[in-house]
Amino acid sequence: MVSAPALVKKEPGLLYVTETDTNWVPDGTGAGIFVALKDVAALQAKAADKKSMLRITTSSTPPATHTFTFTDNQDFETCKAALQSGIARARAGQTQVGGKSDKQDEGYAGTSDKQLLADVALQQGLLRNDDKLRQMFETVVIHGGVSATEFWSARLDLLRRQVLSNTQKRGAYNVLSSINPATGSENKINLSLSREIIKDILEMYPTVAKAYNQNVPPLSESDFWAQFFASRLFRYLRGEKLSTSDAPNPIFDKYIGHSAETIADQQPLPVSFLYNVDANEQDNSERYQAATDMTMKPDAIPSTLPMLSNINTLSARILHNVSDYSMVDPTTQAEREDALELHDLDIAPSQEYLLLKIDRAIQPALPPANGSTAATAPDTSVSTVESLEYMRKSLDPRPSLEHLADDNELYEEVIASLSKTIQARVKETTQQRPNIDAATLEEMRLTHATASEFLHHFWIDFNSGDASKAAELSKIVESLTRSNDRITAILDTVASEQRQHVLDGLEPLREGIQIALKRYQTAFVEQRD
Amino acid sequence: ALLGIIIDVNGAQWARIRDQVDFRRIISSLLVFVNAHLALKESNKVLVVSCGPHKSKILYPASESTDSANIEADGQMYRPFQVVNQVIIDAMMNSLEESQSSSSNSVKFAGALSMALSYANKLSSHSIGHGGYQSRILAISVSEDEPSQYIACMNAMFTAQKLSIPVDVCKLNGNSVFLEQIADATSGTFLRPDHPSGILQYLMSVYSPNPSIRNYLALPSQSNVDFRASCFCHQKVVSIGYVCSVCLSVYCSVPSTQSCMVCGSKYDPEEIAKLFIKPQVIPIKKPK
Repeated sequence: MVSAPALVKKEPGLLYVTETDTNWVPDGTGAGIFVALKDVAALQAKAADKKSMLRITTSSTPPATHTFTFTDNQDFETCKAALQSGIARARAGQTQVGGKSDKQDEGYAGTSDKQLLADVALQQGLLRNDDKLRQMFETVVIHGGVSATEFWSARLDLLRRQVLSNTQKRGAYNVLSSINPATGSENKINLSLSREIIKDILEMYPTVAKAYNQNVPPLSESDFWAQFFASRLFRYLRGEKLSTSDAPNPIFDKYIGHSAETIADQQPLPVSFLYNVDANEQDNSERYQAATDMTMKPDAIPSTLPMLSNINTLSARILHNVSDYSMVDPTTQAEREDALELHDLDIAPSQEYLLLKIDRAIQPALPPANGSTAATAPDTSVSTVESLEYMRKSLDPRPSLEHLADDNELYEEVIASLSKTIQARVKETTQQRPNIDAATLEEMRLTHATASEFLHHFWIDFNSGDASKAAELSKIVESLTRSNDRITAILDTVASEQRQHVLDGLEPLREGIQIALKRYQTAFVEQRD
Repeated sequence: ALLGIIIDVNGAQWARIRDQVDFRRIISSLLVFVNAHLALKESNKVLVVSCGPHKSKILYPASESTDSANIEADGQMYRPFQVVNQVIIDAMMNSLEESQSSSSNSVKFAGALSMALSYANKLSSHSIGHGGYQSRILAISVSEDEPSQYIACMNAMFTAQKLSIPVDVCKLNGNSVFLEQIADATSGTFLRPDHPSGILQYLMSVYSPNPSIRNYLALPSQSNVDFRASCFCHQKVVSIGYVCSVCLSVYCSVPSTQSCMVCGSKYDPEEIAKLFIKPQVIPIKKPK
């Protein structure tokens, strides 16, 4: 929010500009002015030495004009910028809001359906990168009857995905570990450094920044970096153990040991007393018998400690620099205390289910039609008494299990028929791919993909009942007939032994096209009459 | 491992095919199969449920404690098997009266399947072994489908799917689309034996493998499953129809009340109207 002193009609006051509106409050008594930024029709600015003016014209009827006079040019500039951006944003938001369906389209950061469809650059980019998509686009939109908007409206996910991946930024990372000096021939070290990497290093490592600031006027940049990467400081900052075999470097070595600064030195963080170790230091048992681990002792500097603390401080710094990371613990005190409680004996909350009232007494109004699952007319060939008698007789002298395994012939027959079934199943599941040559396969694939696309748009337009789409519809129908002809052409040109396989592949497509064409014809005839 | 058996006791249906299949023979083969399963492993268990036109009942394990002293010793047979067989036969005999009805050619399969599934669930939650408790269900069926059982059957099928319990089906008579779908969805084996009298061989070779090794075997299951549902209003078999978005019940046409017949949810009249829009195919000529 921006605020600045401004005068309206010689009255002093304060002008506030927020993201959605602007507000002027007079110093003394008097009416204030409130204008929502989306109502602003025009903004005029006149910069003068001590009397810069901003004039806002609203789009209400009758249009109201407000003039704000600034004495300070800086204030004038900031207010003008804030108002301009606010108005532009309000204008953009306005064109999207309109119609119930648009509210649902409102996507994440500029990915609403309307914006995606309008973003021709994005679409061209996608087409450029994907050959198959481009082929499809050419056949369907340029040669066929489908409009580009329709084509892309079936592919909104693709567009949205592209926008989201474009707007993703790369986060902060540990710069030094990504630099690997490659040892070239004759013990010379080759290393490539870009402007960005240097900037990141200086940002991430204040020690290096300090060394740079102190040493670079005398040393040249390339010398500085050459020496830095060969020095022990570099290895120290990377967290590697320092052995005496490294060449000592008088310039850099004095900075070793300085990087034990913690992030706590930079900015004190609010830490709850529940786990604020420093604050609770008096109240612990470690003072007596159980001492802390050697790396945890506050004053210990063994050789492995720098590595741990380095990496930790670096990570903490990276996180700290990431814009939306807050080091403040988001859980409330109550939540934390609740986590310490034992909930084992709590009564579990009973599950609440949505009640779905099912009407079990549905009786079909008509007698059941003939179908394989319909209960056929009750067969009264067997009476209840008879069936009961039959069952009783089967059970009463207890069935003897003794001679059941004697019928070897029968069982052999069973095994034979089972083997046949199994073999047929196995053959089905391990059927090899028919070898159709690559060119025909490619043609089939192309025809299938484009015809499916046409069918898809045909049915959308056909069922929408939208008379304005009728012209487009007829063009799609032409394309469909062309696809149909193309299928027949493929079938004619292919060799006879492959013909069956090709037919198997394309037959469902042909059926689909024919169904669509027939529906179109009947609708045409109906409408004409 | 648990073997659950659902045996169809619709007497009328069995009586109709008594010339091709002897119920007695089926029962004896079944008993041998049960004994074999129990013999394979100490921890194997069996559940037998009878499924009739009006109700289903668990035959084994018996709910009333059987007085095993009553069972006379038969020197030929291993006593525990004898006890099991006797309990099954006696329980089935006792339940026969209630389960007969000549006017019905279908059975309440959903109830029997639910009973078997709950027993399997109970066993698996009580088991302490690693690797999970393996169960499978075998349904021996001679009856047709009952359309009003569709919802219940489908629910039971999804439960079995969730619990990974294969439901095998041995169909000796009749057409049942529900059973085909259930066997297919739970990766069970659906078979229509060509030689019903040799059912013991079928049971031993096709229906005995455990769920865990079925992946490695080629089983002769029926591959062409009729996945069509039947509509709820007319019991017609539909391949393209309308489905309620709340309770997933199937209709062949939009219900005239513009609300679902099963769950009562009202549909948006605008959306219904959209379904009936007449397609406009002739472009409107602009008046010059």
